[in-house]
Amino acid sequence: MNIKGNIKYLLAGTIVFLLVYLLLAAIPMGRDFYFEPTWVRYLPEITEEQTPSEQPLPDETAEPFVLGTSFGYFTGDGSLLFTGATEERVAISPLGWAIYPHDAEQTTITLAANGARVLIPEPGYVHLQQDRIYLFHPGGNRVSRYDTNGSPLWTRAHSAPITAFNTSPSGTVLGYADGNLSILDQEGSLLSSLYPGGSDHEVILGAAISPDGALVACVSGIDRQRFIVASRMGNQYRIVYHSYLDGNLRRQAYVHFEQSGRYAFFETETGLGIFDSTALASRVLPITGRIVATGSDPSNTVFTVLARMENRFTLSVFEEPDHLIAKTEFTGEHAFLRQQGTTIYLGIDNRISRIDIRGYE
Amino acid sequence: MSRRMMTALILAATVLAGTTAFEWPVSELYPVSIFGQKKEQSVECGIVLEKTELVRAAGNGTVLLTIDSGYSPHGFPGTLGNAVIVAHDEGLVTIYGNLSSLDRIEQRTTVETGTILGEAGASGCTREKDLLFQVMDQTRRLYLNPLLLLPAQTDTRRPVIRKASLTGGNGRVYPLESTRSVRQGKYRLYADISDTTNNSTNTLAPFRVTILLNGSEYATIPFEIITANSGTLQLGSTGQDSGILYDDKGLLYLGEISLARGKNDISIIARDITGNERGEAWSISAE
Repeated sequence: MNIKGNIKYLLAGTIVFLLVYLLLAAIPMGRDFYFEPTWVRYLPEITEEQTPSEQPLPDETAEPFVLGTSFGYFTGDGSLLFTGATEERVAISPLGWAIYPHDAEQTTITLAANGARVLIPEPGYVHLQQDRIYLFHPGGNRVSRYDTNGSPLWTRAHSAPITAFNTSPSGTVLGYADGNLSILDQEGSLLSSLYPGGSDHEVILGAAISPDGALVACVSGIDRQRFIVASRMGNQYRIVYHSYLDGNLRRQAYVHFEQSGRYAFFETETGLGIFDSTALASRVLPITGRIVATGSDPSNTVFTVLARMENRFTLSVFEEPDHLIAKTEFTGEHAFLRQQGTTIYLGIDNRISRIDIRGYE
Repeated sequence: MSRRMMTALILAATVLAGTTAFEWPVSELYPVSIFGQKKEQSVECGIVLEKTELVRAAGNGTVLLTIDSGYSPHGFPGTLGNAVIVAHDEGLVTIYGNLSSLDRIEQRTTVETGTILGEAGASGCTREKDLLFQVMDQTRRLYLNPLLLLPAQTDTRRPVIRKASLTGGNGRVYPLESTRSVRQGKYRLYADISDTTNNSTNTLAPFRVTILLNGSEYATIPFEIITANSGTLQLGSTGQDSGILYDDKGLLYLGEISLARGKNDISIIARDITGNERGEAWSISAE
């Protein structure tokens, strides 16, 4: 046998095999995400009550924040605007801010755009969400929406305390301790009033409405607890999905639609649920602690989750659908999470950081 | 069976049995506002007890929900503050708001009568140390007057009726004390009706108000249940929006009354939960 003569054929065959293998067996490589810290800003130390100046907000995209007793706005490039401090309650949104005591008889809102003042002349707690003003009345079962002149637009009362509330530009969803879920349009007119039922004890623990108002989701009931999704059909909402959950949360639950409205996040006793409205399916990610915030990018490629257990916070980052790509823990008294596209803003006690997610553009 | 009959049956059964569904959630009773009392543009849907310390479960039950004022999904600020909601038998639910913290109840799923839920604090939209206590009937979807289900307190003070008046269609007000004659027709009847208790001088709402016209019962306003209808609250079976139950000056609206030509005897009888009663009567001629 002429081994020497065959070596070149063996060698050539091996190379051809390797080339064919490389071509045929290749699979797409996973995207290599990485996180790039962009800036960190420390909040000024304020020892006394300080209200922000009444200058117009120079940047309409400024993000409002509350961290413990500090509040204000920050911009994407790391500028801190109008930081203030108070031991009282704070309501803040891009529209403006308000400070009020626990037994507020009336509340003044300062508009961020021009420093103008808006008086809400009734007792209760002011809540600002984007450009919308709400007042939760004493007693726990009545809420009003106001315009930016301080005039009431609508009021809604129910024979049970409000336990869940969420609004979007398309409407408002209210959940109550008697298990009622009420969905209102922008004018405050009732579109639907549901009692999801299906549990020994009826109660709504959390609810959210999608940005376009097409979907409403809620966590309801004790023994057994359920996650419910209702879809708008004409002027009515009908339940299109439900799933029983393991265990019973006996506190208010986080429920939130991401910006596209495709996914809803919901809190369960065993973790964070993610509902996909296109597949009408949900799954639960095993996250421990109380959900503080979730975020997502417009393409729904990366989800971020901030959870809290006592003074320990966990920031988890998932690649869609449920692949954990990063997780970090830190301690603190107060924290917030905002995600705008591939940018994460993380506030912890006295500092705010910007972190950019890289590797999948 | 009508709601009014159901409530009457519950009350009758409770009285006959000599027992009450619940125990008071606090040891010292200083009510500052009770069921049906004017509260800004609406009415009180429970009881507010002031100067309270320890807050206890009013009955055996299951913890339905705790509301943590320091954590609210989407940041909406509930005015109950830190609150505990407990489900009991027969669809009854008790609500305890303005607690200083939820530490004592956080790990519990059930409570017994007297279980300490916490201490009154300053977490809700009321004064410090006030307890907000409400009772809900989940089966019938309404608020119940907690006084119907709690042990009666010794009270000898009778309600007070003042400033009774008729308001005509043109808005003119006729005080019953000084008016002898009016034109025949329909009038809105108002009065300032309040009550106090032996251990509190706070002005409280009555439990029942009856209006007699020429000796016959014309209308009754029972402070027993509050229901929701089209986004508004209604007291009892009056079908009347609680927002107009009181006028701007706090006078109780007792309904529209029709005065026929001749002499009209108008009587208002106010009663508190313990049965103390006061009646006032006026004669007025309609021309």
